[in-house]
Amino acid sequence: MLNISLQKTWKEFRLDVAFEIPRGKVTALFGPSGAGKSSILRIISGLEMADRGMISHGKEVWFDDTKGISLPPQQRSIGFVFQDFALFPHLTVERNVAFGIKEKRRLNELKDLMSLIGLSGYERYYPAQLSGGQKQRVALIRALARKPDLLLLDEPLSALDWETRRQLQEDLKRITQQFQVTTLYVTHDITEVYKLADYVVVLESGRIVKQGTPEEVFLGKKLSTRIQIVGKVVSIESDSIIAAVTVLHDDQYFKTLIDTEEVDRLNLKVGDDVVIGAKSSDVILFKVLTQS
Amino acid sequence: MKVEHGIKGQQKTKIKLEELTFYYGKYKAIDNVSMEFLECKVTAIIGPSGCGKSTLIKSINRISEITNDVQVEGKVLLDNKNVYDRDVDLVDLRRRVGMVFQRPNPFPKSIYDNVAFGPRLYGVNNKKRLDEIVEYSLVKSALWNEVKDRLNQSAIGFSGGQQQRLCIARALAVDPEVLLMDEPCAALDPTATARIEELIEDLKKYYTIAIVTHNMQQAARISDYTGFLLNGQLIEYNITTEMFTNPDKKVTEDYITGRFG
Amino acid sequence: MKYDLQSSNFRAANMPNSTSPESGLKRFGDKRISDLLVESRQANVNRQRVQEFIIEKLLFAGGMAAILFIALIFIFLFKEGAKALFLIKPIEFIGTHILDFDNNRVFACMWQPVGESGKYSIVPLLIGSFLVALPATVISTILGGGCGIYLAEIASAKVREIVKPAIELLAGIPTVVIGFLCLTLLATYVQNAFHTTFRLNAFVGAIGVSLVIIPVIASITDDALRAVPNELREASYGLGATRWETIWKVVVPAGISGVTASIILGMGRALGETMIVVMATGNAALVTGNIFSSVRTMTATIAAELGAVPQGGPQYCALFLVGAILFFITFVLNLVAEMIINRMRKKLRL
Repeated sequence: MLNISLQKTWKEFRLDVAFEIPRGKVTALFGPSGAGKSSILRIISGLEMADRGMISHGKEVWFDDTKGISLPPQQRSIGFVFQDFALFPHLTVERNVAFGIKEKRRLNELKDLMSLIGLSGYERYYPAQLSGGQKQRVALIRALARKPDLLLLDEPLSALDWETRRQLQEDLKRITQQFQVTTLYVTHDITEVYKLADYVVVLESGRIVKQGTPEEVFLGKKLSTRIQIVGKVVSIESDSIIAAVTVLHDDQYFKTLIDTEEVDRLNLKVGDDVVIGAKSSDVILFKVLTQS
Repeated sequence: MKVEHGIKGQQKTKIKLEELTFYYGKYKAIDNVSMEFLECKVTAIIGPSGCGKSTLIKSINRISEITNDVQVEGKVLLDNKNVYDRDVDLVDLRRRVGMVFQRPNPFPKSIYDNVAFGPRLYGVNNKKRLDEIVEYSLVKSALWNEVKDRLNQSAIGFSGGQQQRLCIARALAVDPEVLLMDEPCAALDPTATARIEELIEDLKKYYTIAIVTHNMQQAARISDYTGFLLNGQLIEYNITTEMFTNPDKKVTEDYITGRFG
Repeated sequence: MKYDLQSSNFRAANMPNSTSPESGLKRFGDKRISDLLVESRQANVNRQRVQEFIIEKLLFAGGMAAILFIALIFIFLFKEGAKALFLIKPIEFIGTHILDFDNNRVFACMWQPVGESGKYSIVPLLIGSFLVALPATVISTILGGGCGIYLAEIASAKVREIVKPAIELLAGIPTVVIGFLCLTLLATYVQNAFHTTFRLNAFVGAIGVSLVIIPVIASITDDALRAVPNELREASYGLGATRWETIWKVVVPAGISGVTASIILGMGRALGETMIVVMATGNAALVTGNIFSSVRTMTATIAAELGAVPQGGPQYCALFLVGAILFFITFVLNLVAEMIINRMRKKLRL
């Protein structure tokens, strides 16, 4: 369990948040750009300092302004994955991954790590020779190689095109589950929150506006549905009684029928984010409540 | 929202590509493409990275010639005039066919000077007239209300979305007929993207728009027509809703449903 | 493959209403902005074309002039230098047979261009140049490189603001002043410290020359390291590396092409430096490996002798040959630097 409470003021921007990251789960930090998501990540990792507040991991205090404690980044057990990969260009893939491993005897694990991300055989390649998706997988395994207590992911998929992005979502899910690592995932993509996160903290201009499971946060209710598909409405064809709504999810189309009244009640428009839920028999549709 | 059936009136063809083949050095980037861009419509070009999408739209205002050794076969007709004819004035062509790029690229000047850049190049120095053109362009690009009090500030401190709208305003200031957009939202967050998409919806009343995107959802949302390009060949070209719900070709279906990329 | 959008097989849904591009566009009277621009351009277009033509040609001439000057210098230098090969036997540029004190014939490398049987071996001059340039490069790589790393990675903004201009000022000191200091002060200190036979020697020269190239190396190293993306530093800290590990294992290797370039450029400057070596190295053309011995560099030889020799004579031409060789060495050095940097860039795609 990671406890975080932070305050920091920049020129015109004030960050004031307090939240917990449950152990072994993926928590998403969701919000528009400029909400302060990345700053929180950088403060937790120690790359930046908060004005006041406290960060503690279990009994270990990483930062506490009242006691004057602030551990440097290398003493906090974290792994950081950046938006633009930040692989060391002068090191081979293998040595990039080995960079964070301090104990010599654990170097023999490299082989397993490489095969875990499906890049066996690429050990001697340089980052410049890899595709975007491969680079980000290397960055991910590099961050995990030192067995951190906390994995920080700063919009790791936003520099990739959507095909690679979806593939990496699967990989991320599989690998974080395998390592059972506590993860904080910064994103502005609702689909990623749904796919990857157990909990979500919604941030807006430096403040937390909501937190909870994705359903609680985005739908305002708990769903007991079997399948949930998040997507964007691309077309609504309606007559006076029934409407056919087409939803684009990961570039797959889902078409569902709902009452025209329901469309009006939700004020559903093309471009809205929706969740299609399927119980064993009925298909139901919810409009995603986003702020602003 | 009622669905309109059938085609309302005949649309004017603004740009027509006739058997266009485009080489970078020896590399064939565009392979025998024929298609039309209709006036006051948004036409999206989709396809995997490196399929020639950008090259295709850049062939229309001949901007890829600036940096590369290129060779062109076939025709690009703008209002029935081949832009590759020898008597074409490149300056005028690029005025008529404006362009917005992937990364917002405002000049390191004030907002006013950015927008007035084009008209000044053409020798318009009348202050009152310039003021009017700047205001008009900023209003059209939905930026006026945000910046009208700070027209003399540098554009560099702006957010990505604002910068991109400024770049659109800059393109509009020379009163183009066609707007080419090369993944205009690729570097923007979803909120900024939504605003640009709204803007495109509005702009298409006056301009013919060709937009390259790798985002299927975006193509589906904003375009009237979509062309699917693969390895430089036009695989399929159709009305957008038709293309996405009922593609003719298996390979198109595979691409838009994400089975390859 | 052709698609006709207006044919009937487009039984499309959702066909948008047709609109006219004319409505809603800005007008001045009955003119659109575009009419205005086209008119304005037509009024200006001829003047503009002439202007652009002239500017283009001027810039072209400027670029060509630079190449032309280099080519002319090159041709002149080698033309004069080549004459030496006809006036003097080529073997003599390496050494000549002389009689030693015991009247034995020995092969000796000597630069003694005066008199009937002048000796024109350039070997001692080459040795002299490198005996100054190599130690100077080593000294300034350590000090200048360290200074660059300090400036880029460790110094606070305030310290940087003071140190960087100070270092650049060092580069602005006239070399004759540095030579003067070497001659009067430094030489004495060096002699006292190392108890050398010669008061003026290669080592004193090397220290003097390194004062000139430390700023070059420091400044370029600083720029090269600061160009390394910040996220690489953060990634390194994020993986548990300390500051020192981050500098040594990440930042310096990532900026290595710039650092290498600075060192090779520095070495080029060291070989070409003249005033300091004239004043500080003793100017004795000896064949030696001892850096505490007096030496005579190629540059010092040219500077000291060329003004005093008759034009067209063997010594005159020999000095040109020395100049040509110096030119060639610096040229190769720059070429090698370019190749190394390109290869690194390609590998790292920086």
